Amino acid sequence: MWRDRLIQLALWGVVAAGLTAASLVGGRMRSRQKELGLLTRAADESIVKDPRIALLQIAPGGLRAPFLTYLWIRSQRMKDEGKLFDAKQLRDLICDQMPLYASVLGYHAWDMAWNISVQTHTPEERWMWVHNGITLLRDKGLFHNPKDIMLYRELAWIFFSKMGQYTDEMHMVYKSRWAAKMQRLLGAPPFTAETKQAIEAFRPIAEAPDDADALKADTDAAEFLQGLRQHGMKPEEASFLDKFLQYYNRFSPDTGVAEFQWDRKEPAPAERPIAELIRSSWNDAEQANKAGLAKVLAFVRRKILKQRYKMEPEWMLALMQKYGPLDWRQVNAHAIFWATIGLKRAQGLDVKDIQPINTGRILLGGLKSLTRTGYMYYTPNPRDPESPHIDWQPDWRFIEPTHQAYLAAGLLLVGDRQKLHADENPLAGGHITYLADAIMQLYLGGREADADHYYQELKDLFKPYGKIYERPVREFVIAQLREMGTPPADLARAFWQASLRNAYRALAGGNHAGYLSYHKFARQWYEVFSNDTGNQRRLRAPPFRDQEREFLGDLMLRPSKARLYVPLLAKVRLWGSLCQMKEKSSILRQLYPAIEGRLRHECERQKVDFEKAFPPPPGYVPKPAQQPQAARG
Amino acid sequence: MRRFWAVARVTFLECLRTRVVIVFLVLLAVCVLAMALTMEGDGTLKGRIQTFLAYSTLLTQLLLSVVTILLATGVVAGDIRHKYVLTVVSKPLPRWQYVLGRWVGIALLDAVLVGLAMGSIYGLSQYLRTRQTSVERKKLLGQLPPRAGDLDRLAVNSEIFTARAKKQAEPFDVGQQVEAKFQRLVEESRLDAVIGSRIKRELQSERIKSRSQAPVDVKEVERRLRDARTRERIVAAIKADLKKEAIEERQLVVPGEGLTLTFKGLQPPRGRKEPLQLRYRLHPMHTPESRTLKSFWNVFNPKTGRGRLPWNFKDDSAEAVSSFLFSPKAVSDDGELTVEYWNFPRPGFITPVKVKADEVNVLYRVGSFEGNVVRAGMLILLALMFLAAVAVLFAVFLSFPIACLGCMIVFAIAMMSGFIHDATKLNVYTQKEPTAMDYFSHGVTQVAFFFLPSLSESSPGTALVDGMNIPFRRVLRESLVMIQRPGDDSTGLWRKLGFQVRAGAGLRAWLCLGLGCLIFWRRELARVQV
Repeated sequence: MWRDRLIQLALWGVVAAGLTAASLVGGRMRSRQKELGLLTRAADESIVKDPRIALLQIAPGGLRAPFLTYLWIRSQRMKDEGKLFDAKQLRDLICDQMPLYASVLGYHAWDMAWNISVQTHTPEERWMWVHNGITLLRDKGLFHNPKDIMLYRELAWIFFSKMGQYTDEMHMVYKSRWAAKMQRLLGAPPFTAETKQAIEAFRPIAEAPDDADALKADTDAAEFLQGLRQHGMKPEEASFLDKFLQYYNRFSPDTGVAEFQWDRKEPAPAERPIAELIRSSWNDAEQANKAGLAKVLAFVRRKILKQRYKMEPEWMLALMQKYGPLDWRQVNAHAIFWATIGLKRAQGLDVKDIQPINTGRILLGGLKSLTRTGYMYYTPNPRDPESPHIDWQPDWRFIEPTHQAYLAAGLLLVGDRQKLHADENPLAGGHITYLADAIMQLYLGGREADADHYYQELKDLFKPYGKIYERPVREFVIAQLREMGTPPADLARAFWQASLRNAYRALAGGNHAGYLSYHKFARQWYEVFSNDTGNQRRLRAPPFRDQEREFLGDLMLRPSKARLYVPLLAKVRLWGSLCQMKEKSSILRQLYPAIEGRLRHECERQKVDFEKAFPPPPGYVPKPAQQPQAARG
Repeated sequence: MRRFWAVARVTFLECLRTRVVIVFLVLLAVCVLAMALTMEGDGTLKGRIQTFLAYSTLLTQLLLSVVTILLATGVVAGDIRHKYVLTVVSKPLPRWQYVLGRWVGIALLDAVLVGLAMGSIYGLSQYLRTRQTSVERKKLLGQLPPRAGDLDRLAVNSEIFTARAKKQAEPFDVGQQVEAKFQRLVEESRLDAVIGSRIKRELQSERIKSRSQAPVDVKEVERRLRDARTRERIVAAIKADLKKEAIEERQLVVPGEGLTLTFKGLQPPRGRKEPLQLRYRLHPMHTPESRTLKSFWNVFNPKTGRGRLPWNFKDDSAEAVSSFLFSPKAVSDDGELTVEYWNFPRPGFITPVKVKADEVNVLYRVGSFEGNVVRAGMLILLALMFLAAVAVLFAVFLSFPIACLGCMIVFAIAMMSGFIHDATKLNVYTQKEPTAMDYFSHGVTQVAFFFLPSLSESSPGTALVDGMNIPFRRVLRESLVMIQRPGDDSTGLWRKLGFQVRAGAGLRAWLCLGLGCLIFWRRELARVQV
């Protein structure tokens, strides 16, 4: 009996000692957690922010650590073995268990976007994994860690490097899928040479109210909302945003979002009143209803940008004001957004305080990419709305902001404009290369004055060595092209052929101003070429009109010959634009018989109405069908 | 023997009537059904089915293991605790028959439960197979032409609902290279110098082990150099090193060059149109920032050249398994296949790449999914029979809660066998000499897994997920014992013996039962008080 009692007392003593030791260690553990920043949120705050995750963290109890270890080991082992079927679930579970560990979230997002995606081989799967990486960072990582700069950088890097560059064999899939999302949300920016107009087109979204009550306070918007309410669409409903956007895209005459007019499906009976409301508001002569429609549209776009894409329209507008007319359908624009917004949220910086040194590679790289590809031409794909055809051309409006960004970064490093060319400026090489490319682009685009301006800047700032820099800009450009291996005799041909290509590419994309600019340049260089080769009969090119007609024929029937891919709807747009140009009528009348047969066949294959898509050009008279000759005698 | 079967029958019926079986059955049914309907995997149909197969077989194994442990310990320990066993042992029933009968009853119940569970898993996986892939949905909506390829459906049929064998590429034949290098050593009169330097290194390491400070004895070096047996041993070691070097050189594909691999002994069923799969892993010397490599693959019939693809140019993930499907026409009638890999340099992707022959495999169908499911069920049953035997063993001398706890610990250790083996390996993760604790933990692991099966390795879920064949030989091995050549994971002892005995769960179950019978035979169940 006494033995048993002794054992009990001894065990009680062990229990007491254990509890004492635990309480002594507990205090030190808590202070150490605070030092290392591991305690970032109180339990009740976790529950309020995300009850599901709070529960997930508590449920495993004391086995949480070995459970997490098992999940990590399993996720990496399965990935190494090429087994991806539960990769997302495992990673979601790990990240839900460790939501405050930004490095964990950053690692898994990178893993999915880079490593796992390339183990799949279809566009859908590739895009899914890259998109998984984006949503993990944007929706989960930044939600729990809004001030962690590393997560913003990772997100920006996915947009810039994975989606924006060209090393991935499916980079076009990522670009086109993202463009489709943004096209549905924001539509196309206005095609204009003026930065200001593009920015003003976005301003209503940035200035729209945040909540429905503030929207209703506006009389124009309230009237329009009342009209919607009468037809069963209530702004308070969760589905209002998506429904309104869908109806606007389908029924409004807005060319920025509309599908081709002749290809539009008629609204279903239940949709007719709303379609009519949108159309009549758009065409409203008194402008009040049109204003109401515009305000509601801006509100809807703003809400979706904030709620779904976690973006800030004000910041987007500020970036456009600083860096140029960012087309938000472009992935590089989003790379710039995420690279800079992190500095604001984490360090409280304003847009004017953002320096390329902070964001370095992504900001400068993004702006350079936009200089080369900033003008996006979007052609919807009716058979797969998620995979539109996109094409692009250089956008000169980004040259000055990029140049200024380089200057600002360089000045921060060396302190003095006169020292920009020195070895202390590591950005000098990149800046010189960028300016040289920009000069060539501007010159080949017919903007000789701008090209000359940047040529002078290049020489003044960097004092480059070489006789090539002592020559006028025209010879500088020719010398650059010669360095690429183009013989002198073909330079003019290269210029006008390339410009003609760019001109019709712009027209196919709906950019009339771009077409005019390139076409003029093509004409000029054709005349230079003709003058140079005029006395050599064998080198003489056919007349420009004939060249143009042949080129257009190739574009319609064999675009690959011009190294272009022109989907049917882009051809429709091109034909429509050409038919409106009087000076093209004779070319089109000559061309039409040659292209009619093949285009009709292509339209039949893709279930497109040929008569609507490719109407005969003005003044065209079809040749009568030849009657068989009557037999003699 | 009729009494033995009576015990088994009574056990079976007794367990069947308990609420434990019903509750676990219902739980299993609900969970498996929920998994089939809710799990999405990676968004593809293939991923969905694989997720379902992986988690349903794992859950089946877990739940049935818990049921088995609870029932087996419950019936035996319960009998002893409530003294029902006295009415049994006082009958002319040998004690060993009682123990064995209880075990057989539990095993029969397990067989029924496994049959039901695997039948449901099979049925639900066939149901999932009928679901549409995203390409099929698009075809229905007219977004894709009817003849558009559907890789997802192809993968489902050829990679999951099948039973495939794996064939490695033939090892690089470097015999001639090795001989040439060795002859060069001889011709350049460097052989003696090389042998001498190796002998010196051996002597140095002997001195380090014996903690001697004395320098290497030159006369000893010369003596060993003259000894024929030592020379023979060292020449063999030199040739082995030359062979390793030659293989390393062959494996490393520099930019602009290629590597040819051959496969022999492939047996794709004639007349089938199912594609074969090539699986491989690429190891770049310098991993690009994007962690992807650009590779070219060409697969063709060495006799006819058929199956030669236009260059299959693709992105591969560095250091991870990649794969692609190819036509069975690429395999010759005598089962040979040629695969070419080219490391094509492109800006940003210029790096030598190592391709190991044993990491390049061809997977081809050798059986049916149905047969695989049956064999998978048998493997699960064998594991449950082992657990039942352990439970009966513990229950004959421990109370129910302690016996349960002991069984759960055994089960947990057996399920984590892979992790424990990796964690207690010597000299894997550090360059330092193993400490006493490392040896101790390694030793304990080796001893423990002499008695315990590796349930994680024998689990059939991975094979079903991958569509890999579970050969009947494996089931036999798990039933009893298999004698085979030592593998890479075998210890030095087996390698010295030249063969390895691998005991399966079945044999271990018999050992546990034997021990249980012995203990029960000697156990005092009641005391006569006068």
